[in-house]
Amino acid sequence: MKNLCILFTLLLAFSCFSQEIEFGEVSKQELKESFHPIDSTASAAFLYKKRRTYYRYDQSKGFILVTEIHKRIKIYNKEGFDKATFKISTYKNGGSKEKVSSIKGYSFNLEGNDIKKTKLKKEHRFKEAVSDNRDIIKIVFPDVKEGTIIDLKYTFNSPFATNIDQINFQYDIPVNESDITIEYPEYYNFKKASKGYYSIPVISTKKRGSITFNSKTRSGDNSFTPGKTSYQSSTIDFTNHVDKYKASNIPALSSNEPYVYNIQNYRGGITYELSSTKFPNSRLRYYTTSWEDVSKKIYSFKGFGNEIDKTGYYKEELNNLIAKTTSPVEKMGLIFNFIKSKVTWNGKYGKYTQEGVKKAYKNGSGNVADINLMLTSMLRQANLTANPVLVSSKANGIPLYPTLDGFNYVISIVEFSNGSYALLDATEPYSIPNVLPTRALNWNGRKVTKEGYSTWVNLKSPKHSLEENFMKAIIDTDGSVSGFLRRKEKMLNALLSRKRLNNVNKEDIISKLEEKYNIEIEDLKITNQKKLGAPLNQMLKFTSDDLVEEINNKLYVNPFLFLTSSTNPFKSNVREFPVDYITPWQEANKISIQIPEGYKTESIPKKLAIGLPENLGFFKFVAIQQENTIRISSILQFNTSIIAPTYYNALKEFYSKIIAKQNEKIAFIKK
Amino acid sequence: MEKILLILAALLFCTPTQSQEIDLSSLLISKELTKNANAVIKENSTEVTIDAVNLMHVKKKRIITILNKFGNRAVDTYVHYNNDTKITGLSAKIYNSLGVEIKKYSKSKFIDVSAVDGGTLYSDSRVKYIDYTPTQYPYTVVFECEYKTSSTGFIPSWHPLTSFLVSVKKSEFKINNPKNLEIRTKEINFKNFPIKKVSNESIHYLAENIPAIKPEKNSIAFIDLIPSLMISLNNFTLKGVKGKANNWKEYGIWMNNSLLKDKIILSDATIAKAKNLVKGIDDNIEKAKILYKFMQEKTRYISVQVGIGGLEPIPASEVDKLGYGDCKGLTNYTKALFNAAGVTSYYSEIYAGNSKRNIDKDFFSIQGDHVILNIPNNGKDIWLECTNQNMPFGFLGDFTDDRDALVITPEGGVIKRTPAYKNETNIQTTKATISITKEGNVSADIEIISKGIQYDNKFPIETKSKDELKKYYKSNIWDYNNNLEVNTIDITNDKENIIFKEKLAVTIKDYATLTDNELLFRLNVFNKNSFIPKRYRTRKLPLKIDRGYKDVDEYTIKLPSSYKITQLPQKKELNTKFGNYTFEVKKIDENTISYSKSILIKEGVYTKEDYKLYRKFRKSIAKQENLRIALQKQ
Repeated sequence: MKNLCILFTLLLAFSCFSQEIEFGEVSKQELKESFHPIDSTASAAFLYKKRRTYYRYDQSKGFILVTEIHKRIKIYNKEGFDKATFKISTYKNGGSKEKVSSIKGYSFNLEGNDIKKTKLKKEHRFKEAVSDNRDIIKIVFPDVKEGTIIDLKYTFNSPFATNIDQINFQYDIPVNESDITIEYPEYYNFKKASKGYYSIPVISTKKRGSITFNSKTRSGDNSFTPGKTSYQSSTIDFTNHVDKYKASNIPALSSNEPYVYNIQNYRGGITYELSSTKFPNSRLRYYTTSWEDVSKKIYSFKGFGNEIDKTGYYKEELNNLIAKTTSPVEKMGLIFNFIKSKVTWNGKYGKYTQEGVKKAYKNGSGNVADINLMLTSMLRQANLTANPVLVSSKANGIPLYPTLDGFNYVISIVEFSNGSYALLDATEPYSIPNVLPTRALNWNGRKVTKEGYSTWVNLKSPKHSLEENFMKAIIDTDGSVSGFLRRKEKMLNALLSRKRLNNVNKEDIISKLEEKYNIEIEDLKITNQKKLGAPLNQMLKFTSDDLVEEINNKLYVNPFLFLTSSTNPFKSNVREFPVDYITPWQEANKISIQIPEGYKTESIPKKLAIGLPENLGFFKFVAIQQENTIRISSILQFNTSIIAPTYYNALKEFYSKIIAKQNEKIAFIKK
Repeated sequence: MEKILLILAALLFCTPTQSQEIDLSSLLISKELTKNANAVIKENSTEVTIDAVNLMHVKKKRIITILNKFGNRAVDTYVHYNNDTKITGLSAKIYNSLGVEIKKYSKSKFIDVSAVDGGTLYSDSRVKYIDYTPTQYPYTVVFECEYKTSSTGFIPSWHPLTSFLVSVKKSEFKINNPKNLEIRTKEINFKNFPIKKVSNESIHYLAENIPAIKPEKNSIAFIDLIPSLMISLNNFTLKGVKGKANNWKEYGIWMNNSLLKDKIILSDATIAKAKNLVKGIDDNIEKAKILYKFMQEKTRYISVQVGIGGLEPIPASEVDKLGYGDCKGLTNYTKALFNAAGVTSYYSEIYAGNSKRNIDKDFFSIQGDHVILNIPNNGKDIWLECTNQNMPFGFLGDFTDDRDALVITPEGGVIKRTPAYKNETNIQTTKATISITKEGNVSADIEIISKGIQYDNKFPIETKSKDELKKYYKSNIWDYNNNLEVNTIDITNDKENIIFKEKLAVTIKDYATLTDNELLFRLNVFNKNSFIPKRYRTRKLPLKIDRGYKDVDEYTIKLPSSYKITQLPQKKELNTKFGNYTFEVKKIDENTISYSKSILIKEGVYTKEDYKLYRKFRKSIAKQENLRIALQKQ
């Protein structure tokens, strides 16, 4: 039955396309439309978006990748005006150069009852030489108002024939009709990987193609008779694979919800990655097929494996460094810290070296691969079982199928004889073994050995990132509160806090905390700032006049005092994308409040223990009175870093209860 | 004899400094200069040689020590150039803390990219820079650059202090004027800084040992804190166009004749169209309103800067054809439409931005970064912002309000002040009827009316859809009210009177807290103003309140009949030089109370000592704004 339904939808989808869309012709009805019929929030929409990518054979250059684009955009209001500006980026490398040709465009407006058609001219285009190998062509449409429709057509020619640009289905505005065709000769074999939260089923067919070769030969060219040139032409027939992706009413991709790390990760689309080629009269050439192959291939590339094998440049320093120890763990620690202090990360990602390890070592700066491949090399040289681990950074998303681009980052792993292991990223000064920076905490890593064997590695630390608050407060009879807070942070929390606090002078830290919590801080001590293995501790003495309310002679105070969260971060009633906490985490509070002199407790918030389904997380709260002190303890814990949208309502409700509980007051009355 | 002695003495004193190279190590910087500093400018010299009206050489050398990672942004190893600026020398060297060279960049090692910022679509200016990753702190950068340009209209002005948190050991500025061209300078804010004139004959200044300034919130803008030297030539060249002016009047005449006059021509068809639009209307202001609206609907803002485009508008006929332009193009286009309809208006240069900055009325040099349109109206000038398609006619908002602008008339340039939106003008009134149920839930009808700058802050929401608006109220305006749901929204943008009206119906579940025998809730449900200025142990800079405003909240609150009012908070009135606050709750009947509050904040610059008092004032207000009352169960 389910299959039948799908079939039915497909048939429907087909029928929508029966009508051919002509470039340069729009209807009055479309021009009159004042808002998007499905998504009224849209400031503009693609009425039609067509892309056809195919291969053309050029006898001197070989296969050229040609992409024809047709975009028709309706602009509903002024916020949509930026959609009338296009930027097309072209790349050049040596003699090879991407080219944009046949740019044509119109803008359409309704004037009275007539359609006014304005042509896109050369003066509406600008070419900007961004850098040595990148140009941007900018197109600004004339005559754009609320209600305008613009039509744009161009052809993109790329000599980089193995590289089909990623295909996006979804944009920040809705797409009414999307028509994408990818055609490629049988000589190419592509791995297709869909991505994001929106997909279009592919319809694959085949069609015939042919290449005609013209050649000339000169014969009989000797001193007695003049030579004769003869022209021959031969034809090679081949099969073209044709993939079509057609869909209607694709929703806009947008989110301003909290805990969305990178909205691009959720954009629906598909990538084509070359896995092999087989040209006539040549042998089969493999590019990528499985993660195993991908990993092996990356390892064999220049700028990866061979960089690990280089050892001469550090040998002496390494020998001195580890001369006094035989313990593998100690050696690892020494080398890890040595690299961190020796080479600074230049902020650039990459699975291949940028400078090369030698130069990076000498200059003291390099990209991710420069640093972590150097690290791996030194660890191996110190007789540790060390290997590189390929990672897809947070911004790079999660690839579903094996592709070379699926990885863009590399870290290092050391395995010990007792079966334990340590993941290391020396690009982050505050990272410790098994606590990676946020950018690397994505999906799984792929460990690759010298021999090219590879396996998956879980990157997430098995321990929760932790914030623990221990607070003691005394309420004075005038309603002022004084006390001290000790905050302890571990794992990713400690890493992030060190990044934020180290090298900032104390005055500024105090000032920030005072602003955040609306308290006055007398004294702040931070310990273990540089001692990365130990928890980061902050201790402060505070006073505040704003924590206690007096109403009708009673005193009211929040059990968490200034640590109270007063608003639910989740406001929306629906959520499309997961909540991404980056790491499992726990926040624990232990607070004691001394009852003000002359008062007694009237009411204390009741205890609460609630949980999320599937053990995703829980919240526990207990408040009790012991003599003249109220003791409050709470734990909020999430056992997973990512919470799927299906649990959103449960999560929102969960938070709403937590917030309500935190804001339930303790009431004191006069004795 | 005396003279000779003096020279000798000078030589003696000079010798040690001359024999010693400038110290490139980072170790011996005085405490005075490292205090509050992320970077120290050890030497910053600029030497400008004006060879001719159309040729200028600039030679710069900067030695800067970066003390920590926050100082990296001060390194400033950038140089901009374009078609009429040629870089003739460029290098950078990096030294470690001991003064040992660790890296060297020659001109060819600089990265060259187009200098198109986010707000501009296209520009022919480019920038060269180095991409250095510091590996240790402190480190020192020696940056040297020389360029020549044929545009003498913009002589670099001198700001010895370049940014907050950067101190200056030595900054030197010198102008060589071999041809003795007429040149004018103006010293601004020099008196509180250690600046010396090296020579009385030429323009040659030296500033030494200026400590870093730490930024503080609610204070005056950096540009108004620091010393600056402005320079201008009476005869200059701008991208091949010759100019002559030594005051605003002359500049206005030059600007009008050389750059504006021939840009205002429209096609006969467009002129006819403009005339037709205002047919039968006599009043000039009414005409202007119609044409302004026409322009707003027809155009959009796109910035393209080519050649002299930094200063001159693209022709009105071009804007008419393209339907877009930058501030200059759109303003000039609007002026052209007005011309066609017989409405006089003037192209006006101004500094834009929330922080008010004046065109210096006493000193002519090429100034301003934005253009608006002025309509003389019998002393009640009307000003138009032409780059915003939604702005009401005659409204400037906080982008260009209350500052001196240069109005360019055919008779020359005139400095005029744009309208100010002061204190009470920026009023927001919130009226609400609120019911609280015995379960603690709230339902309410609210009406909010905003004027002046508060209108300016509000009117952009007009274009939001219903769903976006709901989110805006839940997450932005009333994020402090958990469980709030918006049921109906009705917004009206009265552009004619510049009034923004919002009418809403909302509910808030579990607003009040219930205990065994009480019901507690915060009185100010919908406009809680609990801003408290940051605390400074020792405030160094004056207090500045950029813009004044007034908020009036009036609520009628219906209480559940099962609870009774036992005690109501007292009336409160705070009167300070920064503004006033009043608060009153009255019992109307057994189950109804009225809540009224008014807050007035007055703009102005106050002393640093006043900061504490202002903070105290805002703290008392915040406390009042968070006030809850308790009802007893009957």
